This record gives sequence, C-alpha cells and structure tokens, in this order.
Amino acid sequence: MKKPGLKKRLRVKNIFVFLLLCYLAFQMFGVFGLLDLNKVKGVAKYYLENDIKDTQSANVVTSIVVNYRGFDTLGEVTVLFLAATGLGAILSGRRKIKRKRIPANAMLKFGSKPLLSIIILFGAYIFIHGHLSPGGGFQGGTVVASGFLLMLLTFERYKVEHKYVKWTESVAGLTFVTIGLFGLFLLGSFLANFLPLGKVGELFSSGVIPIIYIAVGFKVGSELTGLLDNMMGVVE
Amino acid sequence: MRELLTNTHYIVLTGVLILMVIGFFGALTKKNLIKILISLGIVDTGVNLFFIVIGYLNGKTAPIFSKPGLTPQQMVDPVPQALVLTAIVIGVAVLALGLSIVIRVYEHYGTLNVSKIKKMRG
Amino acid sequence: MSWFSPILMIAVPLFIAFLIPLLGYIHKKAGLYAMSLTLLFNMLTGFYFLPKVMVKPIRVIVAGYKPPFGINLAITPFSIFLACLISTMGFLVSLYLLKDNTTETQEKFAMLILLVVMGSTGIVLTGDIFNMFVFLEITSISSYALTAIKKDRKGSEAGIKFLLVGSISSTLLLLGIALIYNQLGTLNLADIANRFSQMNPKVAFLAVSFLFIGFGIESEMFPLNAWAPDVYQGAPAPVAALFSAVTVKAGLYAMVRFLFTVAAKSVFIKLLLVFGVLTVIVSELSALRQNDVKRMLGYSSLGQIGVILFAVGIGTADAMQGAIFHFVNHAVLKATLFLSVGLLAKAAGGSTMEDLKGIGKKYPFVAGVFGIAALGVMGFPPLNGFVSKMLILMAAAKTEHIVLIMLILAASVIEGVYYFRVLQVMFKEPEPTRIEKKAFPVLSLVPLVVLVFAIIGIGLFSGYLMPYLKGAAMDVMNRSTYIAAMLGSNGGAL
Repeated sequence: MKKPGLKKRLRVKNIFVFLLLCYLAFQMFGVFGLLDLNKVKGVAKYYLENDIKDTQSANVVTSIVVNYRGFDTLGEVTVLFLAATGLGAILSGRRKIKRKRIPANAMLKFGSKPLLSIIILFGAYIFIHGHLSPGGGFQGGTVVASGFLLMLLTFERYKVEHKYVKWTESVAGLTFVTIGLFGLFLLGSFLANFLPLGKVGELFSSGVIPIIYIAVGFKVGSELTGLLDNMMGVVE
Repeated sequence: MRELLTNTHYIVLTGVLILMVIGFFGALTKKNLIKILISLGIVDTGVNLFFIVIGYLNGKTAPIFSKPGLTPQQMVDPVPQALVLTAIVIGVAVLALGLSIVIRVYEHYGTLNVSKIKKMRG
Repeated sequence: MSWFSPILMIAVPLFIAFLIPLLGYIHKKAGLYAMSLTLLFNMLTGFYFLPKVMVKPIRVIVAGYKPPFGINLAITPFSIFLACLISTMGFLVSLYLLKDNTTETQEKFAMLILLVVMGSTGIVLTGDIFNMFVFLEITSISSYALTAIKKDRKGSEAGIKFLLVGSISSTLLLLGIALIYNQLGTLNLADIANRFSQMNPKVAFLAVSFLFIGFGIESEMFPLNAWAPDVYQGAPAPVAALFSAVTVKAGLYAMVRFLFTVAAKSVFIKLLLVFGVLTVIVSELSALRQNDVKRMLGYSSLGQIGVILFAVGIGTADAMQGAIFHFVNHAVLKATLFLSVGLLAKAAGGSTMEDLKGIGKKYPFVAGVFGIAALGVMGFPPLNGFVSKMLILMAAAKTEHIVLIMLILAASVIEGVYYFRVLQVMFKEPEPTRIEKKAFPVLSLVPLVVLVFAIIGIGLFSGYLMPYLKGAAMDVMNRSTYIAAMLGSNGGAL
C-alpha cells in the first residue's frame, strides 16, 4: 500500500461491488414480493395435524427433526463429527502457541466450579425434555459445552480428558445408528419408531425420540467441548 | 406500499437482504482470512433468517402443544425451524474447520492477507 | 430379506465411522482395515441391487413415513449405477491407502475417506432435496479436511480456498431450497418435480439459478472452478484420485438429476452445453502450460468434466448414454493417473516435470500404467476413453453442433500434446541417479492392476455395459417414470 494510487483504486472497486450487490438485493426483493407467506401448506400442514397421532411428542419441531426427517439429523450429527475429526487431524501435532494471561480472580474461580454442574444440569434438562418443551439435543449439547468453555477460560491448566470425549461421542453416535438399525430390523424401515409411544406430555413418551435426542445431546456436547479444547492455546 | 412497509414479513426480509449484502460485501472486498470467514458467517445468518421468515405467520404461536386447547391452526410452520437447525449446525462445522485451516495457513505464510497467500498459480 | 435394503449402504459406513475411534484401542491400523472392508461391503451391496433396480426402481422409506412426508431413498437405475461406481472406486483407493502413510493421524484419515464416499453415495441415492444438501455438505466438509490433512503449505492453501468457495455454494443451495419450499411446501424431489409448474415462474427461475450455481461449484463447471486445480495439486494423490473419481461424480449427479428430473428447464440445459465447451477449452489450454504434473492432471480432469457437461447439455438420450459412459471412464482413468503419479512422486520426491525426469526407466511398470491411462484419456482406440468420446461426438453430430464438435476435437489434440510431453519426460530422459530404487508395496499396486484391466476391458467389451448405460440414460430422460415410481403405487416399496 505504498503507492498512493492503489488505495484509491481499491476504494473504487469496493464501491462498485457494493452497488452491484445492492442492485442484486433490490432485484431479489422484487422476487420476495411474489412469495407465498400467508398459510401453512404442504407437508407442514400434515405434520401439525398428525404429530400427536404419529409420535405423541408435544414439540412438533422435535418430531420433525428426530422422526419425520430423522435421516437429516443423522447427517447433521455426522457433519459435526466430521468437523471435530477434521479439526483434530489438521491441528494435531501443532506447536501450541504459548501466551501470558492474567489469572482469573478469586470470585471467578470459586464461582465457576459450582456453576459448571448447574450448567450441565440445565443442558441435560433441555435435551431430556426435547420432546416436551422448546430445545433439544443440539441446544442442550451446546449449553453443556458452554459450561466447559467457562472452565477452560477460568482455569489456566484445565484439561478436558480426550479419552472421555472420544468415548462419549463414539458411543452416542453408535446409539443413534443402532436405534436406526433396530427400526430397520423390527419394522422394516430405518429409524422407524419401534418403542411404545405413550401419552403426549409425559416424560416417557414418543418412543425413540427422547433416546435419540439424549444421544444427540451427549454427542454435541462432547464434540463441541473437544473442538474448544483443540483450539485453546497453551498458557504460560 | 404502506402495507408493504408495515408488514412484519417484509421488514424482516429487508433485514435478510441487508445481512446478505453486508456478508457478501465483506467476503468480496476484505483481505483478512478471518474477516472473510466472519463475512460468510453473516451471510449464513441471513439465509437462516430467511428460512425463519418463510415459516413465520402473523399472530400465531410456536409449534408446541404445551397447553391444552392449542390447535394446529394456531401454529406457525415447523419445517423451516427444523431445517434451520441443520443449517446452523452445518455453518458451525464449516466455521470451525475453516478456522483450523486458517491456523495452519498462518503458520506457513505468517500472514492472513489473501493477496499474499498465493503460492499456487497458473 | 426385507431388512437387506440399500439404506445399509449409508447406515453401515456411518456405524463404522463412529466405531473407528474405538477400534484404535484394538490395533493401530484397525481403522484403516475397517474402512476398506466397509467399502467392500458397499460395493457388493451395490452390485447386488444393480440388476434388480434395472428392472424396477426401488423406493426405500426412512422412518416409516411415505413420501412426501418422510425422507425416502430413490433408487433408480442412474443412481444405483453411480453408487456402484462410487463405492468401487472408493474401495480401490482404500486398498491403495492401506500401506500409505500420508499422515500420522491414520484413524482420522480413514474416517474422513469413509465419510466422503458415504456422502457421495448418499447424494446419488437420496430422493429428498434437503437430504441431498446434507449429504453434499458431508462430502464437502470431509473434502476440505482431506485437502488440508497433510498440514503442508500447499494443502492448507488449497483447503482454505476450497472451503470459502464451498460455503458460498452451500449458501446458494440453501436459498434455492428455501424458495422451492416456500412455493410448494415440500422437499421431496419427485413431489417437487410433479408440481414444479405450479411455482411462480419468477421465483422458480431464481431458485433454479441458485441451485444451478450451487451445483455448478460442486461439479466444477467452468467459471466456478478456479479452486479445483489448487485442490488437485495440494491434496495428497490418493485423495485427489478420490475427488475426481467420486465427489465430482456426485456433484454432476446432483446437477443432472435436478435439471432433468426436477426442474426440466431447457434454458439451463442449453447453458450446460455452453459452459461445458468453455470448461473444456479453458482447462485444456491451462493444462498445456503446467509444470506440476498433479496440477496438469487436475486441469485435464476439468477438461473431461467439460466433455461430460457438454454431452449432458446436448440433451438427447444418446448423448446422455455417452455422458454416463464417460462418467465411468473418467473415474477409472483419472483415478489411475493420480494413483500412479502419487507413487512416482513419492519415489521421486516431487511431482514437477524436473522431478519425474526419466522416472519411466526406473519404474517401468507404474510409469507404463500411467502411459496406458494417458492414452485412454486422449481417446486412443481400443481403450475406454475412445468409446465414450465416440458416443458423445456421434450424438452431437446428430444434433448438428458441428462447431462445438470441432472445438472438442481441438481440445483433444491439445490434450494429446501435453500428455505426450509428460510421457516424453518420463521415458526419453536419462535415468536419474539420485533416486534409490525400492519396491512399492504390493497392496498399492493391486488397484493399479485392476484399473488397467478396467481401462482395456471396458474399451474392448463395452457392449456388456451398454444395457446398464441405456437404463440409466432412460431414467434421466423420462421424468414421468421417476415421479410415478417415487410417488405412485407402481414403485417397488421396500
């Protein structure tokens, strides 16, 4: 950026890009005017009307995520697993960057330990009740991982045991696929709901949905924790 | 026109477009790899918001049978909410992997400037 | 045998992929062997279902809900044919990898390879557009990681480029899917195809253009493929072989399936014709001035994809048959080229022209394999590349695209020039003294032998393949049979 002309040229380019994008956005807004935004239709209507009959789960989004479109969720879990694996493979053997950090104060240190268990409890509540209330495996798992993030930020030498992370994510993933295979063997359709459905609103209801969502919760929690731990530098 | 401006859908759709313009602008003009990744994250947010808008209906409630008496006619479209969950997870996965590759790139090149990271040409 | 359904081709690799981290406790290399065995299982399953599907398409219902309410797998001749191709190539590459030490993180490497093949299989088998997007993401994310897995300078650079372009592609795909969902309220491919005309034409145009660009990035179409040569150069050789033999095929499948079966937009199909020819010309010309053989192969691969896109764009059943044949040949040839160059480059310590000087005299067998595959790519009779190029050009001649045929032929001549240059460097230059001769592991040579037999065999006995190709081409061209098989009662429900 030594030459005076260069900066100016860059700015002209930026303005050009900006105007082009605004033009495209304007065109898109014209198309948005044609969208159909006034009613529930198609498959969604079927899901809303038949959710209780089909799954006995109070949360329709959960029954879509885990049951009607459960195959997508299996793919989704795999995507997260892949990210954790890929990140581990790419960052393995890295010289961790050492850096100085101001130690956390006493309040933080005393506070975060009991907080960790409360956060984990809260996350577990979210994923266990995924079929009854808002939330589910992904949300609960993220909450659990945030608890470990707090620990990693507070204590300089906090270590997440990689062995536990590995086992949790593997076993949770295997549970998901195994339930799917049970559906295939028992009812002839992968991921079919082979357990009794129970009654809507109860904790033990909607068949395999809570089991799958709990497995997802464990898996997401452990994978995000592993991701965070992999990205942390070493503190001097 | 007045109706268009006060309609919740169109207000949010404007937001979607603003987010996408900001994101694509950043992705196309910024030089710093991390800034580009953040810009793409903003674009992702715009798309996710678009999904939510598609499923939203004025005056209706969340698709959860949380109290007796709720009927399916009172609820918004649940499918986009399920899809957006997948989209968010995929966004997170790509972002995490991207950051890890950026760490490696920085180790090799000592810079995050995209115009200096061009060993491969032709 | 109602439980033995094609969905096992996705479920079993997933199960094994989740299991691989635990297998590390048994034996260090258990993960690699598990991966190879799983891919063998996939291959056998694919070939078990191939003749059945040719007779009657199978609709596999997931989670017990009939389409369009649940996700279903749409196993039609085209998709099972590609699934067989993908898992076979995956298995051969995995054999090569058993003795390969590209990276020290063996088990993670095995998982990524397994998932990239699983994702591609998922793309070709699924009958739901959002599910296809999810599998596309699985494939791309594992591809990003595989590109950068060597942690070297080139791999990281190629990986980040790939990732940035790929995430733009996924954004556009999502937007397109959202628009379609808004208009039709469904995500099932057959259902969308059935009611596509009910969409508002402007919205439909926007949605199709988003998906066209998105799939175009995945299938390495010309203006959108700037990242591809970097990836082919930067990724380890077996991974590059996997990319050109497996993931691109899945991207092309998505493109063809969407444009022909779902949208049936002739404008975009014509656009494929134009972009295909552009892809051929630009990439062959760029290949001509490459010094790195792997990068040159990458450009050559793009050129072949251009030929496929061109054939698809012609839009007749004959051309489609040629295109699908070229899918197979391109996969076989490019995998052979990348694998043999991988071995030679490892022995020579680099993949530039200087590194490979006279290597043909040191390793006549592997270099000979490279030579045969190069001749196949150029289209020498009786090798397989000749047959499919002939089919495509004859179909093009029938529809009187004479200028385009000339351009494709000119590109083939250019192709001949640079491949012969490589062969000359390999065989005519004096034998290098700096390289110690050591034998390659047998397991790495097995896939090469199989592939060479495939190159010659497919060329000589292409007649045996024709009924399958015809079935696959018919499947693409007749969208009404697809819709009827997936939505109606005449599909064989499993």
